[in-house]
Amino acid sequence: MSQQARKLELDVHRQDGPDSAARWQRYKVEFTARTTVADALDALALSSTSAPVAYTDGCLASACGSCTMLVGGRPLPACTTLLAELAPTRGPLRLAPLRKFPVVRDLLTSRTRLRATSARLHAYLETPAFSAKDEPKVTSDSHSALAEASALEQASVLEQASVPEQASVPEQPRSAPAHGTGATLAERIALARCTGCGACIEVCPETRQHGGFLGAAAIAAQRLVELSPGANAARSTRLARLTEPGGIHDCGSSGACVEACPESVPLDTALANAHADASSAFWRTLFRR
Amino acid sequence: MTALVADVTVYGGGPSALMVTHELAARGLSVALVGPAPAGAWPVVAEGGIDDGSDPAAHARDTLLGGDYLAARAPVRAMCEHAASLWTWLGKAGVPFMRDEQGKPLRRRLEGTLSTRAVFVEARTVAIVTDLLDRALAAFGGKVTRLGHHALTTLARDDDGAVVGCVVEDRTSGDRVTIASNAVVIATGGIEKSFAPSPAALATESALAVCMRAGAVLANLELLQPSIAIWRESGSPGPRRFLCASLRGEGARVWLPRHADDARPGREIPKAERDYLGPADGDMDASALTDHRVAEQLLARFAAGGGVWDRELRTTRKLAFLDVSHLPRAHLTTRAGSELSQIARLSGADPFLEPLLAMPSLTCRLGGLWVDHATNASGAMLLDSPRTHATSLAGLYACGGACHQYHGAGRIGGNGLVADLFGAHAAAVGAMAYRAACIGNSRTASVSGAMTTALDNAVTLQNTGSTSSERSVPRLHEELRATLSAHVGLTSDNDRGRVDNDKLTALLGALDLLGEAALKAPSDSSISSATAHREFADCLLLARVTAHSARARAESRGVFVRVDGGRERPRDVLAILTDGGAIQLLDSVRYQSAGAHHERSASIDPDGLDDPMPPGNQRASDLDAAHSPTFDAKEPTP
Repeated sequence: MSQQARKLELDVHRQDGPDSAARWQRYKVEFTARTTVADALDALALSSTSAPVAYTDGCLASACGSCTMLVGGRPLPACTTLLAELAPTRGPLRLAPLRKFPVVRDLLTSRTRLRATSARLHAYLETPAFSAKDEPKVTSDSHSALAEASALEQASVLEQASVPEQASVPEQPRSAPAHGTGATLAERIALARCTGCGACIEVCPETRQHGGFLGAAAIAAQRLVELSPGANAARSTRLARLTEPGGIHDCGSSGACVEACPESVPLDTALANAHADASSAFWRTLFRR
Repeated sequence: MTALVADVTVYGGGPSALMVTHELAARGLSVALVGPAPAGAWPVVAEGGIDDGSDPAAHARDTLLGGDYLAARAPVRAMCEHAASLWTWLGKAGVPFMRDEQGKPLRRRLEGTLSTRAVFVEARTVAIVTDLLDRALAAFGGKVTRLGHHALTTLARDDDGAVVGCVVEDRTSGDRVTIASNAVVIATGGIEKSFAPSPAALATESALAVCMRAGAVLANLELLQPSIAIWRESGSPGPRRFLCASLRGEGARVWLPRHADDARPGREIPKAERDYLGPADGDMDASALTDHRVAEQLLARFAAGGGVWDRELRTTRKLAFLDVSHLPRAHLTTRAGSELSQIARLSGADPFLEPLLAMPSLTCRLGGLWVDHATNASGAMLLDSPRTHATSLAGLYACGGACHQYHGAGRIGGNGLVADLFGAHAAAVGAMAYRAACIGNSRTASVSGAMTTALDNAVTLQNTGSTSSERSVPRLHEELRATLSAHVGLTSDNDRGRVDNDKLTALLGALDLLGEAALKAPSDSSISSATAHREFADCLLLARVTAHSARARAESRGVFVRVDGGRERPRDVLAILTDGGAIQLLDSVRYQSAGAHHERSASIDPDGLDDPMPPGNQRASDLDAAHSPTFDAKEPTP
């Protein structure tokens, strides 16, 4: 691999505030095979005497999603996107903020939308306060604390055994708690890789800056909750929210989100399951009538 | 200008801040959660996993030993006794801890302990915990008001000096928001802009500086923990990824070529010609070695001429090999697969075949806002007390990396997240106890007066910048980072990152020059520019405190290595800002809160618990080395 530094022109979207006019500013940067977009922006900030290009890098490891921007038109995390993979052979490379999220300044966007959509789908577990009743007794004997801890954990693992909404369903075998092992756990971990970067919302033909489809991230978050221990509590609420306007019926199944996800979150499975849940709910209401 | 009212204000945005908010809201309080970052962005820490709490006694021993006896014992004991239920609680909150086919949790062994106790999700435990906590706040609806991208500018204090709210400012528009609340909790983390690798880093030390200007005591700011970071080069001013804890927990080795001029790629160097740091090859059970000890050894080797260069990129910093190529591929793929493939893509090297390049790097500040704890008659921590996680200002609480509790002079691997989350729980309980004690004495008039004063004090810094200066604020930040690294931190040639008084005097001089340069730094008329100037001033203040604290710690302790000086009884270095703006060191903290006076000495007392006494003049790391017969063969003579 050649480590020869190459030169590249960047056209960067500059905008002083949410309501200010936007303009393109051109910069020249040097890059090697291992230079990321974030590296280039940081180098600019260090060398320039004018106001640095605003963007955020939270974790620098594509785990928090906060630096996602349009790089050459594609929504990508600046921290782990290599310039060499995207540099056009001619003309400048454009860096722009995500279009479906409000601009705070320059490349910085507000992503509160992601939290709002997952709240709307009730994609969270209602977790009680970490309280004294959960706590093992304060004791000098470590073994009793351990025993108590395993008992508590076991209890949480076995919570899956009862399904309140379908009382006639037989108890699941105690030996294989569905959410704690095997394929289900693997899916939960894969779903939990979602960094909330917003790429899926950005590329979706059905999402708008306001309204439209809620987006795949929220559906995936709901699926993660669905597979978690203690998920039974609000299952009917989640199903109801899923079928409201903006919910799964507004998904056009373009598959763009699956392509765009930088963490390969299994969005296709999550969306397919959501479609299936929604249609079985539809048939259930039809027959109940 | 907007005015908000909430029972408690939480300032921060990472796991600690979200946990405090959760704990308060789940107990029925209204919370204003305000942070410097836009929503959903946090630095990655504690990726290795979380101690499962299965052996509280060993956990407490490891924590105290790792912290070189500087951590107060009662809080450490309480934390370790709660670790098991914390893990259970996280499981119920939906964290998909990894398990084998039988449903048995997978564990890895993290630095600083001889047992395998850390449960985890790949190498992104903290990211997943943070994300789930973030979502879980939705359950509280309007109880939680969230405000991202705001800087803390001033604390509002009533006639008695109690904190009754704060003023925050939109970092782009400059719009002010006053928040009246019974208590304020600071949870902005421990790695700050002074040491951050990137100009766009979110974390700022501003909250600590604001609290200090309001009179709060800071503790142990000189304690800066190095770790081993995966090197990722480019035009970047620093390392980019701290994956070491997970990989070392799985058995990764750190080594250097025996011959300093060995230019072969790592995989071509035979085992006999490798200088392994830490326990012998494959023998991870031999030593409870902490990463900061390995980092220290690396720096000594570098100073003696060892170390590898990234020849491809002609880097200026010496590096070491972090090697997982001897480990089974399937095992690694299960436990850190997605991170390793990302590293492969970014570094152009296959970690399954080739040793990775890594370097010692500062990863966290162990000190922060001094916080108190209360104990019962038998010396155990009393959580339900207004003193729990209280700073020296009544009504101001702190937790997570922003406070000085739990880690002492060295943080062990499994404790990053345990201390953040348990501390957040404790701070919430403490703030609630304080609120309960204060409630009833109606102070409405006093609060509005306090808020007016706070607003008056929150004057936006006037920019005196001229366009002729070549040094922008991001450039000054980079100079500050380099200066701190050279004097109290780590560089390849600074002999174990050691500190002496000459260096500290030089550091203070350099900081003065940076302060002068900042006055001339170019700025436009925008609020962002003013914010950047102010945040640089905050970093400078804390850098000065760091230098003064380092001078005051006359001994080597934990992560702090001093060239001269002997061994003392463990004590905190406490700093306060005088009315004249000078930094003053204290022997004890005296404060008044919820109608009672409290005093705690800087000396760490054993709190009546039956832990082993600090072993006289021995450093904890020496004791650690004594655990291990195979380690220390190549220990450099100081």
